[in-house]
Amino acid sequence: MTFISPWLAVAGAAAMALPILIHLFLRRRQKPIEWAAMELLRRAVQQSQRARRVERWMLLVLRCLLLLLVGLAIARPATMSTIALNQPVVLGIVLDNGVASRAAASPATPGQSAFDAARGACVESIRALPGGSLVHVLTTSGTIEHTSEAVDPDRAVAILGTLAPTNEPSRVREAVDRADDALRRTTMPGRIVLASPFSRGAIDTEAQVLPATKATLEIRDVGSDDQGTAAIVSMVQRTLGPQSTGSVTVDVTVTRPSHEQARRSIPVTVTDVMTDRSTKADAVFVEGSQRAVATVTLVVDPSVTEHGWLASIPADRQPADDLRSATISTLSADPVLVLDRERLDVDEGSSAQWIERALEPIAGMGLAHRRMDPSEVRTGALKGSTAIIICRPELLDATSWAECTTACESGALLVVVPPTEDTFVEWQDPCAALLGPGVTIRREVMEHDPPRRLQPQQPASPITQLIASELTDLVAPVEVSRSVVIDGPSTTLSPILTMDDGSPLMVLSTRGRGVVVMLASAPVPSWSTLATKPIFVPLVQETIRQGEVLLDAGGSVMIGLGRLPEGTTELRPVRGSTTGEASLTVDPSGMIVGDEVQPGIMQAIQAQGASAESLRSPSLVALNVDPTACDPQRNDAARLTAWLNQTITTPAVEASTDTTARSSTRASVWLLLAAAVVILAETLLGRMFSVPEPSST
Amino acid sequence: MANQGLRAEQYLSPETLAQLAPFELRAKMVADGVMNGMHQSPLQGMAVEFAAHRQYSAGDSIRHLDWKVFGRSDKLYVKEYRQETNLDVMILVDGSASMSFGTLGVKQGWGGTDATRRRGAWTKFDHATASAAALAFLCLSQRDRVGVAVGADGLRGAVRKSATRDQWRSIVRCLSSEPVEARFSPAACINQLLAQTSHRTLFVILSDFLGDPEGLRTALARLRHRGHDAMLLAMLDRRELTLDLDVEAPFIGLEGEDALDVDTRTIRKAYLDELQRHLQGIDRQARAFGYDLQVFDTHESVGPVLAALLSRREGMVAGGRR
Repeated sequence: MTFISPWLAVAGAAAMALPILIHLFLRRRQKPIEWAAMELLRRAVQQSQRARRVERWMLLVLRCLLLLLVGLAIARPATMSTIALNQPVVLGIVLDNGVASRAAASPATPGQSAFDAARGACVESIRALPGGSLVHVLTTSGTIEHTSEAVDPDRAVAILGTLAPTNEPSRVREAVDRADDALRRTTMPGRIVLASPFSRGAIDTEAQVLPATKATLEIRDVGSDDQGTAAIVSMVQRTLGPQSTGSVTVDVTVTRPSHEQARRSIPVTVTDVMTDRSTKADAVFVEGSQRAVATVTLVVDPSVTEHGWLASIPADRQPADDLRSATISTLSADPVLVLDRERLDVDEGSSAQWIERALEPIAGMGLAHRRMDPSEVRTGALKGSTAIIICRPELLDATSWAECTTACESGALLVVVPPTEDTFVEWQDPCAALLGPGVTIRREVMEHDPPRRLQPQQPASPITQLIASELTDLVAPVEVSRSVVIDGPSTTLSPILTMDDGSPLMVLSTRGRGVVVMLASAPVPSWSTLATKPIFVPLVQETIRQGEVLLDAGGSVMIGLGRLPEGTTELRPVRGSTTGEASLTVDPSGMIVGDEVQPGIMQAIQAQGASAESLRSPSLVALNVDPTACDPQRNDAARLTAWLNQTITTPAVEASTDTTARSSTRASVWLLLAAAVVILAETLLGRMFSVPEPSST
Repeated sequence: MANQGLRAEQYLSPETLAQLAPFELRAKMVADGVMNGMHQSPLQGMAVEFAAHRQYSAGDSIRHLDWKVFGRSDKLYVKEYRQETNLDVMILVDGSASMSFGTLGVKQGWGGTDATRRRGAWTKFDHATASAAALAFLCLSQRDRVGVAVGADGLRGAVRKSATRDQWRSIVRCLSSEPVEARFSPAACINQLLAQTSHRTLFVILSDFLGDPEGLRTALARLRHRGHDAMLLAMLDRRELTLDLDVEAPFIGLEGEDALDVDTRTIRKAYLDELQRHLQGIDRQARAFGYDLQVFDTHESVGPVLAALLSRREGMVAGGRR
């Protein structure tokens, strides 16, 4: 058992001696009393003194217990272990490997991340286990369960050594629930150790209400400092390609891990850091949704290729619940071009019709689109189109393919859908050539009977990253009856969706500054049920949005605990004198454009009222910098760090609302109830043995 | 001399005497006193007060035949008369160490001795001597012969029965003593007193009766055997009666008993039960011999309780006449 205020527990234990000392003190001070009726007294003493002595001791014990309980209650015990010390147990290790665990553990231990500290705490707990104990290893992010069944402590330590922090939020509740489920399956007594940097905001305020567990839950809070973490801004920089017409749509996507008791809308301000113009919009959460997008359409100077947009959310409107991700993405404001011929004789609807339907605005998230006949694709026809969906590749001639290739290499997204009608036109080869060298598309269409399903665990892809958490559920009902076979080296093709036999249903490749996405099965019912399932709308929209982000138009700099690309280095300017520890790791390909960008950032932040004066005492600002997107030659890391420390400071998230405090409060309440029961027992005992008022004989 | 300054008021406050005045002290039993007085004589004969008619039986003197009744009813009845005599009263005060217990501060007008004032508390002995003096004064005012004795393990002082003028002073002098370091032995004291008593006497024993009940029973049996009457006046301090103490302390006996660690809160009920049982036992013993027991609370005035006792005895005697 641990206490939040251990010295109060000691005081409570010491207070136990108080009734005894009072008893002894009063006893010593008693003077002898002369008495005449000694014989009567002696007989009375013989009758009742013995029983009364027992009662008095009971009262003394109760009073001591009362003081002890009150002391313990005030001391706020954090956890109550009911397991005998030397009894083997099954230990459920829940290690927080969420994005926040990348943060440094504390200023005192530079170089050690919170994850390392949490892992160290877990190893320490494992080492302290009595002989014969077993361990389950779970993490809060990514793959949760790392052991299908309990393993011996050495094996568990080895597994812990292989784990690494992810770039996703923690799912602490789920992990603890799973640990509890695992422990329920064993007959041995169970205990759960949850090691997490709570104070860093890895677990949002609401999610910190941990589930009730059957097993004893011990919390190892490795976030030793009291700095709250808040991400308030997100930034993207793009180099507009030749396809751009100067109209850009900026989407600010706010995601949150929980939709319970969260704000319905988040005001977002998008600032063009080059022009310092700000535009405001609201990201509105649909009921039950964990993601909202604020879309702002901006007109930019097409002659200026370097642009930076900063999205910010006012600190006072940004509870920890909404911090999980505040990412920004840009799209060309040009409509998505759908290449297909208008047809009215298709019973089931054409691929283009299904796709266009999926592009229609739903819940505020829509994409403008226009239809173009493939025969119209001539030189210059695709200028200004950033996203092109080729639904009838068989109708493209060589010129059209060349134009598409040019557009792609210039920085456009091409989505290719196989033709649904039998054709003798050789569309496969130019399409394969578009996808990249070594790629082949078989001519014959594969019939699948029974229809193929998709793998439950889909590969990680930038296209599906925002729907990754729901992807398993989304792909489950999809059946594919017909498909084309796309082969190619893994260096060229990266799968987005795969079928259960491992063959790709959707692939991604890059060509020049553009991106090509190809579907192996057409989204029509005779080919697959893709278009009729819930996955289709988010898949199409995410393909366009994320595909455009992938265009070689620049990288992004994220400020805050957003979704970090792999290999991201975290800069963590912290309060006061620890500023010096912060360092900016940048990459020669750089994105932050030095002096031009920083004033824009400052003004954007100040526009949100988040100036140093308006905010409370400095707290943590986490700056996550993509090393592949920064140029050390052009960015003054020290200046940026110092500026962030001064300006982008947000009030600390209520880090004190940690689970430890909550559980200890619960324990304290129970102890106070026990004290009340003791008082009641003492009262009853006193009344039971009380002597009636003397009456005259 | 230490006793020169004694005054009757020390023992009989005007308040006490005022409370006793309406009552006549009568012995329950018929005293065979030698002086005419207000007490019934066991001897029937020439007297002033008619008692009852009785049927003539052989051997009766015809001098007492009621001829008027014979003339009216043609039956022989003998007239009987009640002869009144003086009462002999012997008051025995317990002077043992246990009688020195008292928890009441001395009050103005309550009487008492120099020792009382010196101790600053109204003891059971004080209460007993005050009650004894009151009784003696009443007896003397009725021209009854009264004597007083103070005893513990034996008689420590005594005044023979007399109804002379100087008797009151002698009684007061005798009572103005102090308890001694000894236990009360009723049997020994009564034995000594019986050796000096020839006439039927009302013995009034004032004690706390906290000693061995068997000794008391022996004493009462002897009194009964010799045909004497007796009144037992139990003097108990209010604290003894209620144990209204909330302490845990060693208790020391006044008569040399070993110390006893007592928590009064824990044993109060048992003590009160024991006290009740003890007093009931003494009362049973007294009634077995036809005697009275009256408990005196030393925190209360002597007068009302004494008056109540005398009233009760007068009622019993009056009932006996009818």
